[in-house]
Amino acid sequence: MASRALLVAAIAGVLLVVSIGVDAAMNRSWTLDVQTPEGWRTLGTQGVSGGPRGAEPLTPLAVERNGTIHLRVTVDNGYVWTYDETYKAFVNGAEVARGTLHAPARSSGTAEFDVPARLAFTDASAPKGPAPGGLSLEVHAGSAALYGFLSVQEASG
Amino acid sequence: MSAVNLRNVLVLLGIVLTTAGIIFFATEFSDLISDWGRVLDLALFAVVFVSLGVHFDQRGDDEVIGHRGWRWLRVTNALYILGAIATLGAVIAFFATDLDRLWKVLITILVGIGLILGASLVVGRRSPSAP
Repeated sequence: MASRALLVAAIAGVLLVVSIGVDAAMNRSWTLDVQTPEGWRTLGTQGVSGGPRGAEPLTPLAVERNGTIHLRVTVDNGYVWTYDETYKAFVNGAEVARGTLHAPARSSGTAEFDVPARLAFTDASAPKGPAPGGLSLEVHAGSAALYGFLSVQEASG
Repeated sequence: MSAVNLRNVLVLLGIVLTTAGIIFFATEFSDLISDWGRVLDLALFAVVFVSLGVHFDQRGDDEVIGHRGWRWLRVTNALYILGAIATLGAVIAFFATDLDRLWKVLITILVGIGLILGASLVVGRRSPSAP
């Protein structure tokens, strides 16, 4: 006859398998996108196919120096409860945006924010004409961290 | 190598391999397992190991054997060590959750002290075995 301790071990083992199975079935992933004339382009992800992923190669985005760069952070919430987290966006280490990222149960949620394009052009002594620049982006939402680098080109004219 | 030493080596390898597995589980599945799920899973690992240790202890066939220096390496002790490692992993995973740090400290210390007091008050004493 099995001892009580063995019974406890068996129950805990079954609970462990159920817990891992349920947790694996209920996953969450985050995506950081930038708006381009062609549509949204992904800069970084987390929780998508095996952990964090950095920026994809992207042709420089043409922006006005005094314009804005439109970004969005998306959470795909596979859990059966809602997701509510404060997100913070950083450019070159400085906070530029903050808000709430909300997603209903087993659904997705998006928060959009703007970044001043001038932050991409740090070289004040740049020659006249279209100047290249770049943004080192970082978005934190709860325990998730998204990283991306966006190359920009000053729009001529 | 005698069968006694082989048994000790196998138990030691079991501790090392299982510890490596626990560490790998705790660190490499963050994209699949949630923070709180990881705490729960590691705590359940600890319950499994400790319960198995108690079971083997109750069976009483885990006699102290082997050479001096190896005698601590009993099956029950191995399972208790794994239980302690899994518990430590669960606590570290708990520290990584988004709970307020004040609650983390309070809960961790209270549960730790509670375990010690519980062991003192609830679990019966066992007289030392005869030499």
